[in-house]
Amino acid sequence: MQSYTLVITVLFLLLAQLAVKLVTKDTIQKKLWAQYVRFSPSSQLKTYQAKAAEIAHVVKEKNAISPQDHYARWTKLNRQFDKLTKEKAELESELATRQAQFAKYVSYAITASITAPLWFFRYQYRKQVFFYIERGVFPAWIDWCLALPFMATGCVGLTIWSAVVKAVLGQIEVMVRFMLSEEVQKPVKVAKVEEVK
Amino acid sequence: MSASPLTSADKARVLRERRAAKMALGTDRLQKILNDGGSLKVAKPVIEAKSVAEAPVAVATGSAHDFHDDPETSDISGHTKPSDTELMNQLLGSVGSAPASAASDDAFLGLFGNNPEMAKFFSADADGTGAGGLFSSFMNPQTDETPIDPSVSEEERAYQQQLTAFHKYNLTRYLCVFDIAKTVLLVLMFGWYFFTTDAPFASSHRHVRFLTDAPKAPQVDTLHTFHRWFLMFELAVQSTLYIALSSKFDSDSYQSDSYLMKGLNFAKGLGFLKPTLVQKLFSVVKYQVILKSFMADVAVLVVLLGLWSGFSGL
Repeated sequence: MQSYTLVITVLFLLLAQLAVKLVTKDTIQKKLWAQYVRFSPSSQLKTYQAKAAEIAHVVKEKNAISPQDHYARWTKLNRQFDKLTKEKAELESELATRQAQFAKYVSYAITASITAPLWFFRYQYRKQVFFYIERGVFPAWIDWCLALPFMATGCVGLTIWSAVVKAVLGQIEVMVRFMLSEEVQKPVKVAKVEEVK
Repeated sequence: MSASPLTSADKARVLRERRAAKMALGTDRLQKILNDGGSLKVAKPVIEAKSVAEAPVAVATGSAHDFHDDPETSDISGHTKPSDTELMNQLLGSVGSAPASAASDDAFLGLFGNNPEMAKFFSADADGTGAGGLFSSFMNPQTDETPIDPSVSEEERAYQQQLTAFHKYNLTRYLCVFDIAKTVLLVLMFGWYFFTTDAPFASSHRHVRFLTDAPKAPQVDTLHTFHRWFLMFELAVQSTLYIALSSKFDSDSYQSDSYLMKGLNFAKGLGFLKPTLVQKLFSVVKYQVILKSFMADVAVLVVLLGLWSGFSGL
């Protein structure tokens, strides 16, 4: 594989790894399962989807009317809602095993597409030079450090390339997490009032 | 044996008098039961003598009928709930003498009773020097510096925790803003060289290493300028960071979480290093924030060089 292709591939793989870490594997599994249920040809999943849509419709209809003014209709809808919810719960319990299996496959897919290639590259291209840095850009001792562990001075290999990309992505992660975190307000000290005896 | 028959009213009166006599003893009796009957011997009475003196003692001068009424509701608004540490100290009989961590060290002493060397290794005060043991320094790192003061109220402690969280948040915000600013500046500087010079700073080909060896190579000046700018930039940025952190934040706030600090604490706990050497290492480790910041800048630059290597045209 060409050096620059490796540079870009490793960069994107590490970027994908960070994205999975930020979004979390659990969320990805849930989102993909929702899409699978939507587009799967399985009759059981179609029934499940139909029930979910019907429940949404009933809830919408129920919320649109007043229980005091249209008591009979509201009660009927409520009974329908209970029945559908029960049926949906039964279907969900039947589909639980299938969903767990699906989550397992998604996890395997993530490992196969992101982690496994990195392992493979670490073994296959551990001694390949990714790029050379011109003499004089950095002080000589930095050039030497960047060539660790197997390269000649001035070369950058997979180990250092992964490390620097991870360091930069780590910085970005810290910034993103900080931006998403809640602001901490300065606490106000409650003044102690001395009791007058 | 002549037993004079008592009427039900007399019986009730006798019972009332007995109960009144017991109640008049107040908390002394309860104190006695707690001290003698408990399996855990406490050094200090559970109920303080002071509190006994201050406690409202049931007075037997009133009519016996008064004792059948509901007891007066005592005002507990001024009372504060003792913290877990205080309770632990009370239970271990070490009120006012040592914090709970010392008691846990005593437990280690008991555990290694047959091996005093092991006990010294794990305990804080086993050797009598007061130096923190392995578990003291690791399980309760603040023991040496900030022992838990039982006189500090819960509100004060909660306030201190909130204040620490606020300082931590402030520090993170400051570092984030600082990182963003310096990274933007670094990328701009790099971008300037990327777009204005033909000299490839990085390439996929080994030839790039020897470009500056040629006589009167045009890249030499460019490289020297870049090198100089980069070092000046780093000097300015890292000095600013150090001054800002030293003046705005307490050094513990940005160093306590570092692995180097934890490692040094561990080494200090083991006693492998001389105290003077440990102090010197601590003073060196203080600069790790600067080192980390510098390494982060080099990392950004190497990533940019890696991306540039594909466009070098060599």
